[in-house]
Amino acid sequence: MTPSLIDAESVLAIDFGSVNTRALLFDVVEGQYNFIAAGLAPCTMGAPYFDALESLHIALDHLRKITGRTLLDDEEVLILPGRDDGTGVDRLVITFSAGEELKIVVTGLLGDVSLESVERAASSAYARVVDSMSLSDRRRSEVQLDALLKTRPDLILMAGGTDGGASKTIFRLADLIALTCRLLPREERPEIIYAGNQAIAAKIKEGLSKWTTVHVAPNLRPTIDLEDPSPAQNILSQAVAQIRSRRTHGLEGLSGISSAPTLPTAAAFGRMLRFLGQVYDTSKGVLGADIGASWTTIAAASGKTYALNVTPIGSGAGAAEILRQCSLAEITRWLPGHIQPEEVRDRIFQKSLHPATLPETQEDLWIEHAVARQAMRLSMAQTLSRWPNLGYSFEPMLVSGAVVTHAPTPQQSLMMILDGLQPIGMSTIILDQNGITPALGAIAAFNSILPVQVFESGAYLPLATVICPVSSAREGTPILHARLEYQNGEEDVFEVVKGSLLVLPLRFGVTGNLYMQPLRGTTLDPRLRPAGGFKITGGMCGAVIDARGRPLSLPAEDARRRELLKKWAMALGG
Amino acid sequence: MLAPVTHILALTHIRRRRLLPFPGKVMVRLGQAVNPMDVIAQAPSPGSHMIIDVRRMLRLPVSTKMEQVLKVHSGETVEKDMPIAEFEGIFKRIARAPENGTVVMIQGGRVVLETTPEMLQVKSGFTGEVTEIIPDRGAWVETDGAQVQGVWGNDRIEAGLLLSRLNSPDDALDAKRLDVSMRGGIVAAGHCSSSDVLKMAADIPLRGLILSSMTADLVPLAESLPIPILVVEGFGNLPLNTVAYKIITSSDQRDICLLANHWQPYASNRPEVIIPLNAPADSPSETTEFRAGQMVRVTVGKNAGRCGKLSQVRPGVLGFASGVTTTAADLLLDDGTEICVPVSNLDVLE
Repeated sequence: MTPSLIDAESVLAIDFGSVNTRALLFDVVEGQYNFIAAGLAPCTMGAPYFDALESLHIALDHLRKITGRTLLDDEEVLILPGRDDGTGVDRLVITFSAGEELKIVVTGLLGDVSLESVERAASSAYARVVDSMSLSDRRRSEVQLDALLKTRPDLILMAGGTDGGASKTIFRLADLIALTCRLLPREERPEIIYAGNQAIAAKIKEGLSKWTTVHVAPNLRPTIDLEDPSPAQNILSQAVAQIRSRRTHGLEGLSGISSAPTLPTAAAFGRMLRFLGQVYDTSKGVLGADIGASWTTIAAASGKTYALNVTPIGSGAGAAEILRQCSLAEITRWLPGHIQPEEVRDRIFQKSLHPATLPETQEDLWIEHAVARQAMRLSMAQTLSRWPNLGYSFEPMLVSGAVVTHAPTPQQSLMMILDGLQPIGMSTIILDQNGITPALGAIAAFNSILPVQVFESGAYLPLATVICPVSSAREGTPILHARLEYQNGEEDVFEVVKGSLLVLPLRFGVTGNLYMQPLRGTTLDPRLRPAGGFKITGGMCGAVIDARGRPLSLPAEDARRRELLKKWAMALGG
Repeated sequence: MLAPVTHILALTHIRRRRLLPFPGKVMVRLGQAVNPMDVIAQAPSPGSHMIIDVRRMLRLPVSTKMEQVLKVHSGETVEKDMPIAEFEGIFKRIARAPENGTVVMIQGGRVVLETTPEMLQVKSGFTGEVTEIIPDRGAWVETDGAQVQGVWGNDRIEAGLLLSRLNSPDDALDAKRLDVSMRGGIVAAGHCSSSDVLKMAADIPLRGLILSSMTADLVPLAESLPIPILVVEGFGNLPLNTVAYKIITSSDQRDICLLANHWQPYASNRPEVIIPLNAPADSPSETTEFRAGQMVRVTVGKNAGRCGKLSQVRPGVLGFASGVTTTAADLLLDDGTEICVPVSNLDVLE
């Protein structure tokens, strides 16, 4: 649908990241919404500025220099809405990932029912679950009380009880929370989000709102068999945004002039992925991965399943945290050359102190890319343990995060993604090089055309079509015969052996028909029909058959492993 | 282009705000001279508690009101075994305090007893003067002196005599360099890679440790030790930058304040060494941009810890050995070597 001249509106999206602030401009060009440009500035939410507006002004000035478009008036105020002389913008949206992680306590009834559901909901926020309480919690009340007083959570997320079901334990937990709030100074009291048995929601709110702010969300688990975390996640996002806005100078004022509620970047990212899941083939589902400096976000939408998982690990400030969740060997295994493990650890910790720094040497780059791989591995593993029905097969797969999207070569980007996410089946991998996905998710709240048009406008970079068959055959055994038919009628035939990476000679933007015959029990894609050809399009790295197996198994012996990593990199052309 | 700043200054004016996170009592007055461990403000903070379910203990009939049985009121101090409620039924039943404590709340049929009260205190951290009172919350404290900011600390503070054990910026600390004669002193040394050295420092005990760098595997141990440990350059075998080296070695035998804060980017709590001096000075600028002539330090990579004069920020971008292309800067190091590094890998020492 072409936006009419009357309806078309320019949109400025600001994303406050922990390293950079981005100012993204969207507008109509030749009748279609397009991503115009991005202005960048270092984050100033922390020391020594403690002011989000400082970086905003620098980012807008950068945007002005790129586009020639004046966005601030003489008093340095954003021109909103846009003027007839072309200055300013019509709409503003705000997303953020910068700021201290919040502390959340979750409460539920049964560990494997409501508590699991509420932990899944809590994993969608820039927060850390510091304690959980349920029916099976054997601690005495005073021990639980002291635990809450000591951890000083910012939020308590309460769930439990189907609608009209159990209530006694929920009231007991609410009582404990009320007691906690009464004992804490007002400034230290946690906000409450109640997403349990709706029959008692009003009473819970009435009892707790005497002491603190209470938000009520629809039941996470209205029946024992049905889980619906989205409403609670939305309210959690809003609560997180409100807390962040109060604690960050400048953010509250910007939220006041924004066209949509300020959103955590991860929530906005998830929203756009969810939208894509509805647009694309719902039998496969879509996957998004954002590897940021402090957080890694995995969002997936497959049928009715929507997963949003945010982990406090990343390529910058979150790098040292990775070493708390895995061994050093799980990172060093990805290095194609020898670096003393202790030195790798030191450099990871040093990077976490200086997240805005860039790799200078080849070794620095190896370490950064190894960290990125492991961040993706850990986040995917956590996501799949929370949403086991998701699987590993998606179409498309959207990846963002500068460590991946701004790798020196597209082959390095692809290698990181294949090693980190380890998809199965057929997928198109696209890169969000400008970090626009969260902006599109935020904009969708008031403009549903813009995200669609921008997504299809070429703002994303198709990296490759990948085919990742699964086979239990031994290394070196042929597992696939492939025939690629080009548009001019010519064709190439390939034999794919287990353990190999094969780049099909399909240039960027060129389509072909790929026919594959799996051998020896090989599965091409668990969600596809076994026979027939597939139309594929070449990305920056063409099309790739990744027959290395899943999960990827690397030789334990260092020299052999490094040789293999180099061989794979060369196979991709990187 | 905004530049990160690290203050490593031989003489500067230092101004810090010491605040409680919630209202309490300010313990100092305007103009008061304070020492590092002086409490600026304090507030009661919930400690440990016991919940005594009086109704259940006394098996009270539903119709019995709590006021009829309670022997204590909120705010009252109780001793162990002291009656807190009595019910005269067929038999007299008494609920007694299980521990010493203070009744902080009576809710429904329960008495909440705080057994181990805590007091949240905000300390000065350095020798200075209170220059502004923030009612109910804290105060601004100011001083003049030398300042060396670090990048990592184990969240402890102390004050004491500085004992410099640095022979060169790339010195390393081993167990042979520590002995009991250093007890009570704050030792400034080079790089540390040994857990035995840290344990020995805590056993002597030193009053604190200032390191140029430390291997990252020592972080858990350092966090567990009772003495403050501050790292100036970071993790790995990194030499102390020459500016800090000169300040620390020339301050040997001076009284210093060691604030080995755990650096949080969104709080103004950078770990730092403050050496009070009796000479007025101006406050440094907290923000700056890169410009030629500045003293800068490389923060990561093969030249991490090295500092020198910024010759220029090159126009355009440059490709580095990593394959990354970015804005680059030329530096003239102290030893006369010229290097070129990504601008993003620098901080300004001023």
